[in-house]
Amino acid sequence: MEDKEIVERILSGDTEQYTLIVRRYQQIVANLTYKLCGTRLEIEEVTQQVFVELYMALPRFRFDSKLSSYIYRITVNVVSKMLNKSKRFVSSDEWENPPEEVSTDRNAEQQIIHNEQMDALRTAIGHLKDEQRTALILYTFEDFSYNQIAEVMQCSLAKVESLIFRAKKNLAKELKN
Amino acid sequence: MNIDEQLKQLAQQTCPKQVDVVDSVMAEVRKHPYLQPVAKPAVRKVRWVPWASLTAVAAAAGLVVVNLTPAVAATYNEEQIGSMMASVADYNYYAPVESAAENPIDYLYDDYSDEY
Repeated sequence: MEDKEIVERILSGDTEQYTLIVRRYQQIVANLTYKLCGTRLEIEEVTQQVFVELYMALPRFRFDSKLSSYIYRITVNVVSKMLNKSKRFVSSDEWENPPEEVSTDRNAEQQIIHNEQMDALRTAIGHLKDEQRTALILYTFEDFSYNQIAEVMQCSLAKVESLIFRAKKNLAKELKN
Repeated sequence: MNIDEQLKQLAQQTCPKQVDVVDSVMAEVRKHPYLQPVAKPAVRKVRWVPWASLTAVAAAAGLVVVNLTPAVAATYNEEQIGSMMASVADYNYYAPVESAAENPIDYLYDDYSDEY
């Protein structure tokens, strides 16, 4: 069933249909939340909050854009609010390390250097300003186009370009140091 | 390795856990019944319209009105009645019903004297 049809049913009173939307998008929201927060601790809390806010906002959604874009926008907002509230963002100390990457192309020494580089990069991402980090993560990790990012972040294309440019510049500067 | 290559590698590494928030979300959703279908407002009955005004407007609209009793009015479809009611509402805004009731047609002509 298409998103639009499900939403129409929900707005007609069949609220149980909302489970289809949650099942369809919960992992996408969780993935983005993890990348924006850098920790798994709040993933479920944020994901739940995103879907509650989406439900409240459904009557205002006119399908001028994709539902997925709308969900991304809410996710970014919820994460931003949560990070502002807790006065902390992706922390270099808290960004949980993913399972160590094992490459057959690298020897042990190269692997250690590689893992250190990745840790340093995570740390640097954590030090970026919220907007820069969000734009960079959507562009790099989620493969969003500049237009999609502008839609999600509710800003101009020029600002997105500027945010990503500055984010990369700041990362390069920090890594160099 | 430049920044773009490092970011690409980092993107491949991220590995979030699986989540299932369906039950918790639906528990919240069920607390907010405001999205339940709202009953449509009942269509106002013709008898609510001042009878003289309805007659006047029907006449002004070129309808042959012999006796616009409720039984006759019932022969109009919903759209016609709705249109008449809207006209009456506008008309009443400018002209007291009592005045129109005394001599509806003359009153209408007087009201729009510039046009005639």
